[in-house]
Amino acid sequence: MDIKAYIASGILEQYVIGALSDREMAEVELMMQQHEEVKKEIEAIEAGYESLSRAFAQKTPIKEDEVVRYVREKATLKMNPPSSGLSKWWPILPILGLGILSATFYISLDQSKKDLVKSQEKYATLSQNCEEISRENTILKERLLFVTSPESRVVILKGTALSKDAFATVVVNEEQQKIYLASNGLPAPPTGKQYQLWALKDGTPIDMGVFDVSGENLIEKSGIPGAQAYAITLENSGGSPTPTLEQMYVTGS
Amino acid sequence: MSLIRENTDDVITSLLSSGNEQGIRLLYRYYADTMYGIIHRILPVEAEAREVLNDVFLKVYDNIAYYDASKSKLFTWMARIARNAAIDKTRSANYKMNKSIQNIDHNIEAQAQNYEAVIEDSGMTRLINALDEDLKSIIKLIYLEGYTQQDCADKLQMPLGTVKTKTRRALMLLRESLKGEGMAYLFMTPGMMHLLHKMISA
Repeated sequence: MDIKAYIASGILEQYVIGALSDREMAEVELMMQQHEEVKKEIEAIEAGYESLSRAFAQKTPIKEDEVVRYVREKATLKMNPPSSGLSKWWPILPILGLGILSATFYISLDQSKKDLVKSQEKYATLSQNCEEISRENTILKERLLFVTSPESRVVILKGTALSKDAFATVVVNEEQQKIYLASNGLPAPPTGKQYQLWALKDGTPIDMGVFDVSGENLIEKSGIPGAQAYAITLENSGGSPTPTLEQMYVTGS
Repeated sequence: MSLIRENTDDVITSLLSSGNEQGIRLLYRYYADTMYGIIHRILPVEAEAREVLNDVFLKVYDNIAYYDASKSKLFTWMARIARNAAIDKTRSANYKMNKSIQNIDHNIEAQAQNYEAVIEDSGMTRLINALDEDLKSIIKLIYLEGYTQQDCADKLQMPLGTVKTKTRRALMLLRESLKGEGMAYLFMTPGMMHLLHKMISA
């Protein structure tokens, strides 16, 4: 084909302004691909057409925002707002949110763990206390049963001339072969001294051992079968084989 | 200059392809007045020209995937859409119902006089006035009013072959003159430069 004649035919001008059918346009595009001359010519026509059109531009009565609104309303493809500082960052917002949420959960989890440890410690203490109380309670119940048993006998030891206000109580149960001593009525012993309990059987004092004064607790001792009376003397620490009668604080039968 | 222009077209195209509103805004700033000129010369009634211009922006946005930068400049592609949309409007049933052919001719004449005034004002005046009457008429009818070569031949009572030759000669002469006159300044309005600067530095 004579390219110069083709160019001179005026078809390229028609092509540029869009006055050709689709089939004719496709033909021109094929020529354009095959012949650099044709492509150059078309580019030159485009430039001329644009210059001419710009020279005869007319001020549009439609505002920019109006056009944008129109396209946004009617467009098949959704239009995004113009890129701003925020929209540039919006894709990472969910990640950021997730991060903050995770951190919050982590902190809260950590706090919960600490709380749990505290609670566990408290529970252990309470549980231990409870066990002790329960054990004490069992002992107390046992003692109550001991004291209220028909086989038990309460012996009140009264203060001697040495200490008129002193007193002690011994609960004796022959069957169970043990006694309980309440020592809360005795004055506190001087340093280096200890009280010692004696049973009197047929006029003979029998050693029942030394004890420390204890306010509330009953002191448990093995019983002496057939003992008629009881007495408490103040002895040197560790006790004596025989009672020091001058230091007898209380006695009773 | 042409490098910057091509880059600008690339930027607009990629913004439009990603559905970015800024693409429409740039397209408007670059081409709205030029496209409105193309449309309004074919459709003298402002309300109709406005409607078509809006639709041209919509069509460009919706069909940007079909734009092939290796085949044409963005301007050429959009101008084709504008020209054909305006011509389609004149062929629509509604349009034909409302206006007689005489009226259209009358309007086009009125419009032709109207932009005669524009020509007086623009740097293009001398260039176009330097052309002989036939070429001047062909420039107006073919390039500015959307006439087909056949319609132009009928109107000017010329053989089609003559119109074809003159269509080419008219633009060639203008092109040569444009080169000589350095008409590139047409693109270098302060607004355009500001926009270009903004885009390049962005």
